[in-house]
Amino acid sequence: MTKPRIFQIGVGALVLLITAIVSTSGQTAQSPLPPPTGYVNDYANVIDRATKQQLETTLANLDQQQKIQFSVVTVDTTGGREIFDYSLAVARGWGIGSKDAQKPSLLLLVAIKDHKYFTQVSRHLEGDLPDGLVGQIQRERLVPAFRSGDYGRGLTDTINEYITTVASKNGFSTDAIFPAGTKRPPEVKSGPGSSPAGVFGAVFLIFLVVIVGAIVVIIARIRGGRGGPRGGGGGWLTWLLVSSLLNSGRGSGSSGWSGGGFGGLGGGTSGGGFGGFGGGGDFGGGGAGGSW
Amino acid sequence: MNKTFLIGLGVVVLIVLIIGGVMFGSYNTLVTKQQNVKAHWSEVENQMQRRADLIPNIVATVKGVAGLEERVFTKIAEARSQLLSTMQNPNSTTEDKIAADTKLTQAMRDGGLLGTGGRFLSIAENYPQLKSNESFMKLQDELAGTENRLATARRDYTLAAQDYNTTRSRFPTVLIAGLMGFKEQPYFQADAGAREAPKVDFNK
Repeated sequence: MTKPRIFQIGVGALVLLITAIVSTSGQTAQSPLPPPTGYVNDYANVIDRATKQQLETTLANLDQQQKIQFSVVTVDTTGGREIFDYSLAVARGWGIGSKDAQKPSLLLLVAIKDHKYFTQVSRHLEGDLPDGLVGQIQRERLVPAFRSGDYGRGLTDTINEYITTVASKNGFSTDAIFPAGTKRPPEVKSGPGSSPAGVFGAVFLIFLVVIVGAIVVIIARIRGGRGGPRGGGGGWLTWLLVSSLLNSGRGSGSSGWSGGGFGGLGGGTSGGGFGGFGGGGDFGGGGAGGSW
Repeated sequence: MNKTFLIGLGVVVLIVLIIGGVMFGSYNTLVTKQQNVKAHWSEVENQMQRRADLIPNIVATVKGVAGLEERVFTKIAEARSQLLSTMQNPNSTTEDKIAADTKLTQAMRDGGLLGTGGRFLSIAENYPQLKSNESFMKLQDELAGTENRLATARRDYTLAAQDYNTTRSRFPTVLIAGLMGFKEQPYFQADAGAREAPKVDFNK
């Protein structure tokens, strides 16, 4: 009678430990916005369908071909919070960018009714897009279009300018990234298969499942060996294990194990295959913003 | 009698093992969290350095356009060189560096290089001719970016320090911390400008 109890306590402790490890590996920042539905999240509803589709395709191509994650967000207002703080919380909370910190990422967030914009640049992108340049691009591409109410064009022109700048500094071609260009199928330069983050997440998940499975089997063996039929106990344990694992994945705030999207194929004009952001969120406060 | 002795010995060994385990656990947790604090602190120092490097440029530009009082910039230059020498001195404590950083922030605010509450130059508001100067605007972006990074690094450091300090002051870890010389980590003072202008907390 006491042995199973000790085992239950032991297993409970192990579950808590695993939960603690998994949840501390997540981002600490909480996004003030719900999880992203794509690269472009138009909460303020100011981008027309065609422009949004085109921008989404561009950003999907950029992610799939170069593993560079850019995101665009429009909101009505930041609710009194400074746009810098707000956008940083979104960028970190969503975990924009690959877990592999070597991959650049960026978030352009605009608050329409506040008349404020800010571009958060990840640490690894700061060299290619210094604050002064980011500010200049936005003053030249975003502000004039926004003043005339053409939000879609302002956002697209700004993002395209960012991509062109990053491409020229890193020596990759933008031909297959911009959908307006030639329609040939995108060539995958950065190796076949899925992203490192995705692979890591999958391996980690399998590892956890195996461990949990092993624990459950061992307990069942021990129980079975002792012959005591204790109905429901095993079910309770399994439920505890599984649910705590599921919760730990959700509780980590970022997109958890969804990985960087299993890119490389798709592309095209379907506009998508958004597989969630990579969970990186390595933003140190770089970037620039202003008002219009 | 022999049996009683063995049981007693077993109990003592068990207690020693448990205490040892708790001590090891506490010690390892403290070391891990202290490393985290150190990593975040080094980012703070990076950004302090970056800011100090940028100040002469921005002062030169603003001086040329706005022709402001020499006295204001002398104060900024003094605070800057004091921060640099504090950072280079191997004997300086974290508290010393935090104090020097706070002093420079105050001098910059007095000189109009920092807005109250915001992290942008307030000087451009008073001199519209600066706003049409693209090289000044880029410089302002760089300075604002540095202030943003510094603010972010300070905040990340404070969160790490809070986490460490909380763990450190809990029982029984506090005994280990005292025994092994783990010190409390200092915090940054609330920003003087942030106190003047109400600002929404980032963590909310």
